[in-house]
Amino acid sequence: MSFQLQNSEVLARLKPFGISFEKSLTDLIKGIRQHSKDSPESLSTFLDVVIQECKTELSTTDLETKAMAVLKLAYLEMFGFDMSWCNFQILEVMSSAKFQQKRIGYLAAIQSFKNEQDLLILATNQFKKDLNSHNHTEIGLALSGIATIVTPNLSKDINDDVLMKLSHSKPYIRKKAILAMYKIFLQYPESLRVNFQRIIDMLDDTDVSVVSATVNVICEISKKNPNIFINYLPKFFTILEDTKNNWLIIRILKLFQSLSKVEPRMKKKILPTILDLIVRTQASSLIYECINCIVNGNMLSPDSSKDKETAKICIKQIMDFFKTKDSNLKFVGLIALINILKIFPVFMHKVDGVSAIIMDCLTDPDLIIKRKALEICHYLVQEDNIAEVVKVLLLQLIPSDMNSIPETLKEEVTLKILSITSQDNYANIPNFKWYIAVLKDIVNLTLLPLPSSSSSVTISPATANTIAHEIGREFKELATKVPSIRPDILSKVIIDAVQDVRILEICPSLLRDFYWIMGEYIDELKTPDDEDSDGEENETEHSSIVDLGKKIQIFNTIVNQDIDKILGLSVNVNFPVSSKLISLSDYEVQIVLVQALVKLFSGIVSDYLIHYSADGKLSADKFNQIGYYLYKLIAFLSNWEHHTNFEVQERALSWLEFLKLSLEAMKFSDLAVIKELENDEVEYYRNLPKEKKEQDEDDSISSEEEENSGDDDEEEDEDSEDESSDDNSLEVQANPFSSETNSEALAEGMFEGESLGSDQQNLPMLLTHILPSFFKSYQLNPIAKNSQRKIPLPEDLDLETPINPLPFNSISDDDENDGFNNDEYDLFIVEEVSSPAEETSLFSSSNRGSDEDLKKKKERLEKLRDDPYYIGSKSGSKKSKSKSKRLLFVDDGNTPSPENFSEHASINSNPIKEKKKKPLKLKKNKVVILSEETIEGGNKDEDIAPIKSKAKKRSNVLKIDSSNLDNFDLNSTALSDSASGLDKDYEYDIDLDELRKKLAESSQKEMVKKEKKDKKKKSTSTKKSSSKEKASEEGTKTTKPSVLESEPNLEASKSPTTTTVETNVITIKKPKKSKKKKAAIIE
Amino acid sequence: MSIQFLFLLSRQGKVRLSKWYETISQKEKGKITRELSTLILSRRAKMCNVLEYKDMKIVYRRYASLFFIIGIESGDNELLALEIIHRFVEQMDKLYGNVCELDIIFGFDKAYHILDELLIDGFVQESSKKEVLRRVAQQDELENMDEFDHILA
Repeated sequence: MSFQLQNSEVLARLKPFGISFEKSLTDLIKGIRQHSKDSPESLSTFLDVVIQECKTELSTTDLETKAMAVLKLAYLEMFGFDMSWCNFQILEVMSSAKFQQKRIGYLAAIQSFKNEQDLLILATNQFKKDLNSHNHTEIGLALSGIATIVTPNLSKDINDDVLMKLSHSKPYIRKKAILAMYKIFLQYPESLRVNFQRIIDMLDDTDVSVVSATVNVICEISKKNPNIFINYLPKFFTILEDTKNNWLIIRILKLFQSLSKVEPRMKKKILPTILDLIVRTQASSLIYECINCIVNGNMLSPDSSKDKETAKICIKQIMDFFKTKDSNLKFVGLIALINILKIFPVFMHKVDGVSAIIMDCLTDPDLIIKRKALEICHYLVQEDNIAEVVKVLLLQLIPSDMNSIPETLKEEVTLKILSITSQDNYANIPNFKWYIAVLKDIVNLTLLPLPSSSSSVTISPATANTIAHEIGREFKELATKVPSIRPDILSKVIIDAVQDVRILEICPSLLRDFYWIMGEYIDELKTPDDEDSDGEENETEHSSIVDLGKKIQIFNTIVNQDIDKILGLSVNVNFPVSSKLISLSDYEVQIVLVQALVKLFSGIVSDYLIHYSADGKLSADKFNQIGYYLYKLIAFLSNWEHHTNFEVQERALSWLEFLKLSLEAMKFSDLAVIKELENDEVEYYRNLPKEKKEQDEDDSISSEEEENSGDDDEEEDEDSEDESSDDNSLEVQANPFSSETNSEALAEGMFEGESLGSDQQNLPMLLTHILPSFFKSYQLNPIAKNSQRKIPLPEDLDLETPINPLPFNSISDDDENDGFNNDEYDLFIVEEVSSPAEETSLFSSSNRGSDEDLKKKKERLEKLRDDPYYIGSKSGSKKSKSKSKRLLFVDDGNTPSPENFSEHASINSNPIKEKKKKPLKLKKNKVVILSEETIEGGNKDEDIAPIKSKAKKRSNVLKIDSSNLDNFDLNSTALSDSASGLDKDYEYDIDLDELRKKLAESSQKEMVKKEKKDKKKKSTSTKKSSSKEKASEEGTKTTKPSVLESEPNLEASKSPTTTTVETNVITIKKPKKSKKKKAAIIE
Repeated sequence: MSIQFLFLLSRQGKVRLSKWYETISQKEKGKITRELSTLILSRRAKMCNVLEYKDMKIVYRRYASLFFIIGIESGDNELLALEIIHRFVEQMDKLYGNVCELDIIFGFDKAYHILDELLIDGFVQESSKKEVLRRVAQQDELENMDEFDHILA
């Protein structure tokens, strides 16, 4: 210890002679550099030792040693070490008489002091002492410290001392003091009220740097509360005209920007000056600030032609920025340009070069600039260039040589493209086939790994999910809104996608929408007739069978999971999709899939009926095939019988019941026939690899052999589940076990009926009529967002009264059993009464009872109506009701076919006019786009508003909390002199009545709860109400504040936010709110 | 123009100086520093020196092997922020005499002192170059005087 003392003494004596005393700090730094070369471990042990050393040094009594330890710790703080544990020692060093040590103390304090209560009480005294020092350098040091460390309590205590320094003889101190005052105002707004005039007076200071600092402070306060400064506009203006200091000018412009928002008339006066500045100055930062002031100060209104001229001048200046090739100027120029374009979108194409610049920025290698340009590129789009713009955007998704595209950019570009194209209900889309190709490209570029780059860069699940979700929604929307494009969506996108195992692996959520489309519109599948050179009639007949083939192919891909199992393959070679689906973790997809699969099956059945039936009868093998499909479907869905997700399980189970019933109704005497078909199929796949091998050998030998090419395709397709190119082969391979017959499918369909009459069988009604009726009774139309909410509640709907006052007494075991047994047939009771006898016969086996039974049933229903455990057919779930309704619908023979669907749709849709476009030579095709159905009455904005306001709430730890100034209102105080004096004790005087009044008022004004709490701490004397009255008196002249308002007799008053709770120093800012509240006060 | 933080980063991503004008936890500081250093160090020379981060703007500039990084509010003037950085560098250059990274590493307290005279809690307090240096020199002198007094005593 004594050695150490001596040591430091010696070092200190050496210092004036140029020998550094900071030996130990240098050692530390060198040590760190040395050890960081070795290994992280050695560095951390070294640092541990050093900190331990500092600890011992801090416990010595020698201030010199302590100061050095503090300095070392301040250095380590940079590396992320907390040093708040030695705050008291820092304080000790701060209080040293030696300036050198004091300086170290303040340096460390600024880095380390946070919000420690007891510490700051001690620190306050130290600050006071230093502020009143005779040495102005020490005062300066203290002011710097206060400005950084200040807390609400400290600000109150220190307020007067700092205030005194505003009139210090040295400008150096005045300047620092005014800036420190700003921080005090933030924590303690009362001070601003009291000292407002004092601040304004500082504008007349003789020293320019003090004026500059004052403007700075005013500028910051004006961001929160511009109103209080409006009267001093002439003063600011004079300063602006007098000074040549660009720093000062920029600050005043910032100030004008805030003021102009609340006082639009000042524009007339200052705009010429600003425009003059723009032309005169060389400094780009000033030009940029001028433009910002004009644009952000709301000095441009889209309607005024004069403003348009102003905007043009600005754009001209901005264009010069771009000419410099400086990337920073490019960036700020782009930002300014975007802001102007938001007001005058016409300039995008009206001013030469603007659109070119935006395009250029879109392709900029700098992602930041690219993103900015992306923000604005929707203004770029016109009907004649949409293809070009979209192409440029798509190009941004293609990685260059070494750089891969960041995921966030992928997401942004995708969303942008979608928003551009779907603008105005697809008004700009020249050709929907092109659009589908674009969407497909997006999927390939964003979601799926690129084939060229073998890198294992895969997209993160979160991003993939967002993109997939958006694209899926877009496809779904297209499919619902544009009927004519449905066949293309199905044949070009959906068919491939649902068989692509990659999609299932990477972005299953895309499939949710795809499955939905597949299920909903499978009947509209039509192979695009590109090569309709053959006889048309034949062709259509043939192609629709091709379509059936495709349907079966999809069906098999999804359902055939068992085949691989039977073949004993560990890896699912043939049907990877199917097996993946079973174990998929995305329930959403499975939920939709259950439904979609049944729809698909229904589609297949109806196709069979169309193509192969005669008088509604099918030949035996076709009949068996359907049976087999049904059998496979049941087997597949059975996998989900015990699914962990309730919805999946529920849907699977309810369909299973129906499907099993259907299978029974097909009356297979035994399942041998089906087993046979299954064996056939298994055999087919068992032989597939062999054949494939042979094929390959064949190929290698005689590759020119054309004959086999069809088969070749077939197998490859089957194998890889890849997209299929050849339509003819598709049909064959799609349905392997029927492939033998398929070649003569047409013939069979026509002739079999006559020749094999005995074998003909009727499909049960369950499959032919009831199954489709589930899906086709109503057409689906696009509905506007939120319109469901606008449907008024039926008057007689009573959601209030309990349904079952006596919950338990009416249930007996018998009833319950009974209920369950008959449950599933209750659905059809309605039919029994109202539909023709023929229809009812369907259910006769189970449900046809005598009148007596019916009566009994009715009685039972009466009894069960109030039973919570029983869902009745009448008062019960919507589902059952609508189902029964649908059945009725079918009876009327009213099933809407696709044709009359679109006919019907065109009534309420906007046909798009045919227009020619040049770039990319897209044929503009006329399509019908359904418009969204809305319900009149409700206010749309209203519905959206709450969501928006929620999104506004964001937190940022770094923002200075100036919320204290939010509600700051000088006016309120100006009127209430008499009520409360300056010397009033704000803190503890609580007038309960006033408080209540205020609370009531504040709730009207939608004040934040937190602020209400704060009020309790607050002085209450002012009459907010009186200020309100006053304000309303002035209602007509609000824009020109009265003399009264500007009067500086400010005192303690209402201010709902003065002292925030201590913990608030770091709090989150809610800047956006200020305007609203302000408005409430002004008016 | 309110600066929320300023820090210096070496090309290896090491912090050389850091100043936070808002009281936030050490953990938070570390997070921001890390995120920004990955962002900034990966940018190429010709790219622009402004980035958007959370709801503020980050302005940085590279001098030799050091990156000077400051965070400003989103409404602030980016070009002015670049000017401030430049001012800071200029003044260090004068004070250290042809400043280099090592000067800042070993004389970090000096750099802080300049910064405290240039900015007060994130606001530019002095736009005159000479004034700042004069103040720092004055304080240094005072320090030495102290020492001298001490020795004489």
